[in-house]
Amino acid sequence: MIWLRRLLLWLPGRRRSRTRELQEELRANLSLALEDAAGSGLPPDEAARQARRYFGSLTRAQEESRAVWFPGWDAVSQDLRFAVRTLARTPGFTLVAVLSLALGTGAATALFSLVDTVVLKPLAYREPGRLVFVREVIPPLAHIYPTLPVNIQHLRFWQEQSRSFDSLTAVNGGSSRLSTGDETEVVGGAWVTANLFDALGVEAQLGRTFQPGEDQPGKGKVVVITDGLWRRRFGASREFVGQSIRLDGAQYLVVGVLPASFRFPRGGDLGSLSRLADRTEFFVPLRGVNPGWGGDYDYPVFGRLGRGVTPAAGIAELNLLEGRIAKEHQLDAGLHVQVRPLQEVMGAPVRTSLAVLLTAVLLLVLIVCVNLANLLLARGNARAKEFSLRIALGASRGRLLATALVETLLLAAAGGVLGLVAARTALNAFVHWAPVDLPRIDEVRIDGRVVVFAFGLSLLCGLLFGLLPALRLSRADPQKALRAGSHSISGSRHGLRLRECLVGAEVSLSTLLLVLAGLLVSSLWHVLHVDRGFSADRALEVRVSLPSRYGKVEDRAAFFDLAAARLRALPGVRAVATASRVPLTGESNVNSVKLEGGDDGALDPVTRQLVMVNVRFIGQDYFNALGIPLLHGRAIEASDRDRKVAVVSGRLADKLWPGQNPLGKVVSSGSGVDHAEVVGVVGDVHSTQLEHDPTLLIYIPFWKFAYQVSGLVVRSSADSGVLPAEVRRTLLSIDSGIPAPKMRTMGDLVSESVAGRRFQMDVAVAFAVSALLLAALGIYGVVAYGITLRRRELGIRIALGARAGQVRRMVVWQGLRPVVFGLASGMLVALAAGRLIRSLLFGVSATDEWTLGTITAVLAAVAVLACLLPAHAVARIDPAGVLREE
Amino acid sequence: MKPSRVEFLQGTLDMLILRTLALGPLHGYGVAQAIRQTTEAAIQVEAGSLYPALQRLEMQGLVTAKWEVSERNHRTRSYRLTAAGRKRLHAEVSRWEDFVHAVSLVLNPQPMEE
Repeated sequence: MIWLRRLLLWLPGRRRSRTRELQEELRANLSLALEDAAGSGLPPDEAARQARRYFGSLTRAQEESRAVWFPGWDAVSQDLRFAVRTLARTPGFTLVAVLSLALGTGAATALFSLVDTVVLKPLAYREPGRLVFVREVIPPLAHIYPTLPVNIQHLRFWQEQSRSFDSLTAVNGGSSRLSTGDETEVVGGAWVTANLFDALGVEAQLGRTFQPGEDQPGKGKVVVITDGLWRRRFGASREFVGQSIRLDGAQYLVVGVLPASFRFPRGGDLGSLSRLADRTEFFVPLRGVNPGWGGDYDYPVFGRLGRGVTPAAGIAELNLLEGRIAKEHQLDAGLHVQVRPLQEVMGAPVRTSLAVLLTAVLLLVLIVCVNLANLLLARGNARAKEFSLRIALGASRGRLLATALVETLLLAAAGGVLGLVAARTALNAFVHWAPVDLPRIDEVRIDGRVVVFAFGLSLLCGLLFGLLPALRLSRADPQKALRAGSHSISGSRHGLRLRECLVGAEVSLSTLLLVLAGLLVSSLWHVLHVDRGFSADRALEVRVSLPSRYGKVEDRAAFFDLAAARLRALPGVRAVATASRVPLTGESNVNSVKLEGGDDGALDPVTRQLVMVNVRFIGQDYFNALGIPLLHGRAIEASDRDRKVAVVSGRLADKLWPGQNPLGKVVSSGSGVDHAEVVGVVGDVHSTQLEHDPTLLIYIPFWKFAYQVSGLVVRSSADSGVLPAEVRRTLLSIDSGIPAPKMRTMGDLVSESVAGRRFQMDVAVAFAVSALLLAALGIYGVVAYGITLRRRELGIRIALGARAGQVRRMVVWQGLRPVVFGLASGMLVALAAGRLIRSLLFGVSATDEWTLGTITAVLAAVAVLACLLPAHAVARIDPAGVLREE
Repeated sequence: MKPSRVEFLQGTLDMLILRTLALGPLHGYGVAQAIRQTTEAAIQVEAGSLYPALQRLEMQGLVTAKWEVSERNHRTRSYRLTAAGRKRLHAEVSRWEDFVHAVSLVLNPQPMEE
């Protein structure tokens, strides 16, 4: 009972009101006592004095009552007040300690919530652990595409035969023009088997998802949309379900709206050749696809494993089925599947980035801890006398530890709060600035778990490194310390050695971070200086989505011809060309190649593997507009409209016709390349990322293949901010019904392609600089402390004739000793661990002498500076004064 | 004139308060006065002991308190013995009597009688 009442008193406000109540009670009772005294006949003053004396001390009554309510409270509050006062008396120490704690916890907390959301938190699907992502592996293609999306016939066979899976479901992504009223917009969508939402375990928040069989031919056209699209375009109207929308000109009945929590993977999440949009906003049943058994590996497939079925069993069964497919349909033997947990797949693209972040954060937190220990140790030594005095006066060890504990907790709490603020800021900045390829980044927020993590970490750092010095001190022998007076303090030599070790560790950890940052900086430099093969200056990519009335390829070609002609006439425009796809926007139209006289696909002369090419459809002036150099022959020209001609990239020419003249050769491939004569050879360009090998390309005239969605490249003679507006106006002047075109400069594309790498580098550099600062702080502290400790010795040296410069040099050299050890050990670890980050590097080895050398120089310079600054104090030592103190 | 103070054992004060309240509800000053008068000013309970003791008894559920207007028109907190308090009082009193009896046996040994 009593503990319950005590507990109740801790309720907010309860303590204060109880205290007030007691005060009131005491006052009332005292006035009763005073009234009684007034009636006693004594002189009023004397009566009141006596009454008060008999009544007793009000203060004591209150204090003792508090002790009844909150046993131990007074001791704690005394410690707390004492701690606040001590910390306030050394603002420098307090500031540095709190800030470094905040830095460490802030960085770690921000990262924790990021990793928590992106990688650890389960997907918002039912029992996400049973969801897997399936791709196929075709051994002859494995050297280019280790895995491919799935052929839909194979999927149907699996669906019929498989027992391990509750469901298997295919999707295919793309985009459509969504029209309501006058407004047309291109939105990402997915064509899916009707069982998709059942497989994922997602139900509509409004209306329904697809019914079984709704993907069969002949059923009505229905669409399910996301919460985002519903709110954005349809004002979240509940009557909206049951109405129709127009997609690419066709009417679709809206049957359901997905919940706001629904997330769908993006193309980038699911590996190469997965054609999912970056943001999928509508879902339509996938119908009437009936390709052969041996091509069109186009469909990302999700599966839900049966209850209790292991992924291994699922893989084994699918592989068995793959064997039967390969046999029955004369496909490559060895056809098999790759099955991965969906959860892992969706976090995979960022795993290495996050690993870099994690390493950096761990190192930083370690440095913060070491720094804190260093600071507290220095402070502990400065307070050794105070502690000794308190021990001598009878303070128990527990009491001293309690004092230190309260102080540490206070620091940790402040560090935790500031750390959370820092984490919030960092996260907001991160979500804003991070390259967009982090899945689910919009879900990242500071929640209860994150807060617990922040304070837990701050507390752990504080306790671990705050209590150690206190433990050491509370064991001190007070006699010795007090007797030794102010000149030297017991154990301080030992303390200096310990602090030197800590500084060494700090330098070592900083070296690691600096090496990581240095290598990433160097890698980015190398990537940016790769020969791109095209010139990004003043070139604009314009992607146009034609309305559905441009049903015929001639109409589309005519539109692009007209658009190119009109754009060419704009002032300052130097070249305009049509292109199905420009460099750095991904691979597409991937095919094997047949040469004249060969029935099978051409093989690479060195690796004896199939040569796979990307086909591009371009108009005249394309190479001009992008600055791609023409190596041999001629480019595609306007007169090639009806000719079967092709231009190939340099590397492709070398592979197909090594040592021969490629001009005049005839080549066939998929995507409409049919016995085309090679008329020119151009320089290589990159399709995906600058750090990958350039793509093998065949360019053919676009007129016969003009797509509904196609690009225009506009090159101007000067940077012009108004160009995009003029381009838009020009296109609308041809057809006012065209949705707003998407425009990016080629420079933007280059930046986008290295955004992830640049971000990694920025983070690593920020961390490395923080680490360097902390290490410098540590070095400074140790040197300054060493000088205070050796004032007498240094004073005597000067008195005996040593020049201040000599003494200073000695101090600096000694200060650098731990730095040398730290640097050397850090470099050794960096050399050993270099392998681990090899996958992140480009154009630079993990043991690059130039990078390591630069870092050594930077660290050494900072360390020398950190030693020199406090070493100036040597000049201020007054030898006479020092000797007099004796 | 100065009353001689009687030092008493820890816990005795609680018993005295409970005994005093057994006669009827009282406010803090009333309890102090009652004890003072009953002991002919030999025991003077001062605020520093009295009020914490009252808090302790209240938290143990031996007394309850509520604000009341006294007969002299003062609003004070008035304490009342609970059933548990009454039980505790009996236990304490019998313990005390045992104790006093034991002590008196030591101080005034009775001749052994057959």
